[in-house]
Amino acid sequence: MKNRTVRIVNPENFSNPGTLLPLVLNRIGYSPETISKSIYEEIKELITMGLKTIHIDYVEQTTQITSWGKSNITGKGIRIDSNKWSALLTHMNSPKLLCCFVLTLGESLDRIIEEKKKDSLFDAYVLDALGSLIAEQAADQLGISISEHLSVKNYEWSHRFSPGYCDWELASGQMAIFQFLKPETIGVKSMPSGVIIPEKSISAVMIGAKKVTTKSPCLFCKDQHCKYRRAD
Amino acid sequence: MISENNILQKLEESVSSKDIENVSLAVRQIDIESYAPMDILNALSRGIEKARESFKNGNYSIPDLLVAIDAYRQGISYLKEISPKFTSQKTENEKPRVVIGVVEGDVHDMGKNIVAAVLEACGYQVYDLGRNVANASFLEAIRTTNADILALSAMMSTPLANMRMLIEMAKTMFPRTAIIVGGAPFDADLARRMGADGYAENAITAPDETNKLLSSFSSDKKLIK
Repeated sequence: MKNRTVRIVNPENFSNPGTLLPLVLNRIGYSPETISKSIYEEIKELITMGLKTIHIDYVEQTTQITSWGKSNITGKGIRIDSNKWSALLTHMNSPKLLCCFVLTLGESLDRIIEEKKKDSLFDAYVLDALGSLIAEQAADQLGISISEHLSVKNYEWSHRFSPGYCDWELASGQMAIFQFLKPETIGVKSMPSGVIIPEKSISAVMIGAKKVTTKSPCLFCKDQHCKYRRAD
Repeated sequence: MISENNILQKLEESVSSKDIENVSLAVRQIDIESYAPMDILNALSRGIEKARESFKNGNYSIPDLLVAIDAYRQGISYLKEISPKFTSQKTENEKPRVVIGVVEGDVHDMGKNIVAAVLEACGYQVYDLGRNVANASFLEAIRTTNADILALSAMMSTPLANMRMLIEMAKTMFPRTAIIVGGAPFDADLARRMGADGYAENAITAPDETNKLLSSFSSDKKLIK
C-alpha cells in the first residue's frame, strides 16, 4: 500500500485563487460578467482562506484482477459487486488491474465550513463548493498520475467510479474499499451508511486493461434518464 | 428620527437587496420601544420574500438568496441583543412549528441549513436537529415541540429505508404532523411512495410547500397527487 502526498500534475489548479475563481463562480451559479464587485472580492477572499486549510492526502493500491463474472470483479484483496461495471470488462481487451484510492482534503476545511454555517450561509456555501471542486479535480489528477506511472503506463483505464455509482451499493462498496486500503491511516473514516468523513474525500476505483473501448457502462446501460450518464 | 414606515421599508429593502451593511445600519436606527416585535420581524421577512421572488424570476441565484438570508439573520441577531421583548414567548407561540433535520446515516446538511434559514425567515419556528439524526430524536422533538411539520432531508439513497420507517412511526404517533421530504434522491413520486405528505423540490420553494401542507392538513387532504 502506498501512502504519500499527492504529486499533482498541475499544482497551479490548487493554489491560485485566480484560476479557481471562475470555476467556483460557475459551480455556485454566478456569472463573472454579472456578479457585483463586492461579492466577487468576498468570494476571492473565501477561496484564499479555504485553500490555506486544505491538505491533500491519499492512499492508493493497484492489484491484479483474479476473476470476474456477471455480478462482480475480484482482485487480490477486494471485490467490486456491480453487474454494470462487471459487464464493462467484456468491452475491454485483457482487463488486468484494479486501481483503488481514497483521497481527502483533510478535516480542517470541514471544520471551517461548519463554523461558517452558524454565521454566514453564503460563506459556507462558497467554501463547500470550493472543497467539492478541488476534491474532484484532485481525484482526476490522481487518476492521471497513477495511470502514467511507469509500471502501468501501457494500460488503458476506465473512468474512475465510486461506491454508489450505477449498481455498486454504497455502504458495502465503501466497506470493500476501506478493508482493502485502510484509509484510516490518513484520517478518513466511513460511516455504516457509506458516507465518508471528512466530507471532502473521494474513494474510487479504476479498471486497467490492454485496450479499453468504452470507459464506463453508460454505453450499454438501459437507464436513459440517469443524471450521471456519460457520453463515452 | 426617520419615520416609522421609512425605517421598516429601509430594513425590508436592505434584506431583499442583500445589503448586510445597510441592514446593520437600519436596525441601529430603530427605536425598539416604539415598534412591535412583529412589525420589525415582518419587515425583515418581507425582504426575504422579495429575495425569494427574485430567485423565482431568475434575477437571483442561490448565493444571492444566501446573502439576503445572512442579512436577515444579522438583523434578527442585533435585535435580540438589544431587546428582550423581541423574543417574547407570545411571538414564538404564534408561529407554525417545524422540526427539521438530516436523517440518520447522512451528514450532508447544506441544503437543510438553507431550508431551515428560509423557513425561519418566512415566519416559522424552526427546531433544527442537525444531521445524522436518529429516528427517536425526531420523534421526541415532534412530541416536545408539538410540531406542525416534520421536514426530513437526505442526500443519499442508503438512509431511505430507515427514513421510511421514521415516516411510518411519525404518522402513527403524530397524525396531525405533516411530513415533507427533500434532497437529491427525491422527486414527488418517491416522496409519495415513502409516505410523505409533501416534497420540497428546492430550498427556495420549501416554504410554499410547507404553507400548502399547513392548509391541506387542516382539511385532511394529501398534498401530493
